[in-house]
Amino acid sequence: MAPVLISALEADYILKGIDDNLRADGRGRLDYREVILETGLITQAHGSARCRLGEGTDVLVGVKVDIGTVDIDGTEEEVATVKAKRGRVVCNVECSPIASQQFAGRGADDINNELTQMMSRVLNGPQGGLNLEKLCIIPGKACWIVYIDALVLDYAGNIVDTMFMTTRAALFNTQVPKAIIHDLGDGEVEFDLSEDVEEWERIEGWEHVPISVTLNKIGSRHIVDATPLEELTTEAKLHVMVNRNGKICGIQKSGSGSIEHSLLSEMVQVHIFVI
Amino acid sequence: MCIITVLLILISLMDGRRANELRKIKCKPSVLSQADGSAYIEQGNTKCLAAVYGPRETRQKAQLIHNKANINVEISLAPFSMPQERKKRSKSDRRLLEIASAVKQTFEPIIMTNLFARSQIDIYLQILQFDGGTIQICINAATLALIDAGIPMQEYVCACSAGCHENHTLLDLNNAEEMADTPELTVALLPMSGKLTLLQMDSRLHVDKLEPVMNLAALGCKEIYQTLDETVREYVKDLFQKSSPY
Amino acid sequence: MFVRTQRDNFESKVVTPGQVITADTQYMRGHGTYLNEEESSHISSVAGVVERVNKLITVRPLHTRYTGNIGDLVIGRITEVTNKRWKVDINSRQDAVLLLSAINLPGGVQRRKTEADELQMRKFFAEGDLLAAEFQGSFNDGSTSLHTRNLKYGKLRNGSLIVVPPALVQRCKTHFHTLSCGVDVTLGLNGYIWVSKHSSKNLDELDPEAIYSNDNEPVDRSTRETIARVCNCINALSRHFMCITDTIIAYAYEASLKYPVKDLLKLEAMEFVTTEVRHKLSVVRSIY
Repeated sequence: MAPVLISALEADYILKGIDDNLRADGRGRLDYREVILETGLITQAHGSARCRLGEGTDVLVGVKVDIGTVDIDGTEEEVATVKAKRGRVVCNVECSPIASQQFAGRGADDINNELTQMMSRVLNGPQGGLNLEKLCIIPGKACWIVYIDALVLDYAGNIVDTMFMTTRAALFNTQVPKAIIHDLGDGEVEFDLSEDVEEWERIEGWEHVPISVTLNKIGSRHIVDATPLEELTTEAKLHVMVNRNGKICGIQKSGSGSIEHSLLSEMVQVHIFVI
Repeated sequence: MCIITVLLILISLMDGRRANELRKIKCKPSVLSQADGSAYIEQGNTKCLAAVYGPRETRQKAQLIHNKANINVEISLAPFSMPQERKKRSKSDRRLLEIASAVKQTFEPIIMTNLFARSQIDIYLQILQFDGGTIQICINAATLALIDAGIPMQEYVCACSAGCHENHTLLDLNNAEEMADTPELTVALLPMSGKLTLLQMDSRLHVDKLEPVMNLAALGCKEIYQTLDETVREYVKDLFQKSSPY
Repeated sequence: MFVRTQRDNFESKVVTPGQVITADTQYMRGHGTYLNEEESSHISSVAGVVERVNKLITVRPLHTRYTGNIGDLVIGRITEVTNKRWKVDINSRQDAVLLLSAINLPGGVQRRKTEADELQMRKFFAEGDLLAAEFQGSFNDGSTSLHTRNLKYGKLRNGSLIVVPPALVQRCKTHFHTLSCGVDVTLGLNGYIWVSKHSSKNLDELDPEAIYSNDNEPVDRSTRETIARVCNCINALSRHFMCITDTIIAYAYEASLKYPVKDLLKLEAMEFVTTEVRHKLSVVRSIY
């Protein structure tokens, strides 16, 4: 029932409402819907969270950690030395067809890919907040790989923001087993995993994981937390990732329209207000 | 002999159930906002969401059937759903496609497709957590979602698995039990008429054992039917009370 | 008295698929039921409530797509423009057909359609457009048709759409209402509801050229706020699965005035509004 079509008259009504700072559901331009967060729902994952936005959009994130080898093949030496001391984050986003008919069959491939790339880019760099060096077990050999899998279960607009919020909550909920390193001498090192759940730790730096604020440009104005109909009216979207210190960790534009430069800086200013 | 039996039950059913006991079932219809019908169901640690769209206009004209509705089933498995390591499965994974076609074949004769000529009914299943019994949970979830969508069908379809371990029949196997090379038989049953609509077995089983295992699975189906039916009745009653104007 | 008890036997009873409603073969089979192989008993095919009109038994599921009845007012969205016809989504098992010959053509008086009309069908209705129409009938192959040959039907303007389960909208004498708060509500029987600015124009004075125009009238802020409030009220009623009529919307509107419009999106405000409405309904019932 999620509309894929919108009439010119509806679009016009939405546009004028936004000019008036009164949207079709009574919200102002910068009002968010109610957010309901739950954590620790999937017992088979190391961490999980579910977030619902206005009882519509529903995202479930499961985090699993796994021991992997450090991937330094084919990189330059300088990069390799840095990489050797780090763990990795692997992201994956899937929009389930149960959320919307649009995601059935191959329909979700494009959006899955776009969202996956966006999330990996944000979480794998220094701006991602996670202390990747702490995820290293034996430099150059073994490290933790954090798999973050987001699943969109229900759709009522604004997937990106919900996804980042849920991811942050899921990382907060994640407990990584403690690795105990034994030095066997001669530079040989081995490690065991602690069985004691009490010793498991959170991933350091989860509190610096950014969240995203999506601004939808409609006419000459912009709004946050758009509904599906508003998203259909949107000319261009700007996703701004910010962390708790108010630092911008990433900006990405999507959608087919263009954004004027002046409006861009105004939009970027706005997100700080929203947080 | 008695001690051996007790031990066996303890070993084989690690979650502390008796050999002929189902895992705990939790279910709830109408959980999603976009779908025409939806359901969430939990059988032990296996959790599944189902959504039904339709009957609605056929979007792809090639799939149009002129005298009945076309049923389309899609199953996806969340990457974090497996108990061991993370595994990403694409939608075209063969195992999932096979289950999807089993679900489709199960429902095709039950749904009154002749009432919806030229339309399409989509059943989407999303497994959130996996602990054995994929087919059975998919069928049970789809039944509930179809009822929630108000799609006419002859009766419920309920599925259950049963197995056999060293001469003892076991009901509703979980993943650990499935892994232990137990012969497993999944049965989908129409509880009113007692007809079978799906039968699948892996591994080998002595022919003498087939009868008791099947009977046990059928009993499990009837028990699942009771649970689903109670949920549906309560739900309909509640909606009816709420919606009556005065 | 005996007849009465027999009647109550299955009427208003909750049934689920596969359940036998009655073994009495004098009844006729309606929607949501089927006869078993021996044709000896009526069996329900859906989960719902049994209804009986004379000899006809039907079972009405509460959550289902819209099934058309001739003369129903529906609201639809154009999905496709094809040769001499439009396809319209009316939340039913198939898109309905609106023939070019079933609309009022601009130019005032009823006239025949011309080739020029066929070439400019998108000028009347384009993909995505919302319209109010009357359900005209269904054909053997399951397809259904609509018409808009009345000035009260046609393109929808100056407002927004709310989607609710079709079972909540009851059949009434009229489905065009003007609420006392000054907005118009069009209750489509297919569960699509249009809330818009009150149009003061008399239907006869309406400029025939303007019926297909794509311009909204200016809507001032307070009207916009009222429209949003009514939409949120309807949404709250639908979340709590309550019947939607003009009176009930008016009750909900009154109760909602305690909250600012945007707070009506919150769960506790919705809870409050619907409880108030229920209370009011029980008071009204006790008076009569």
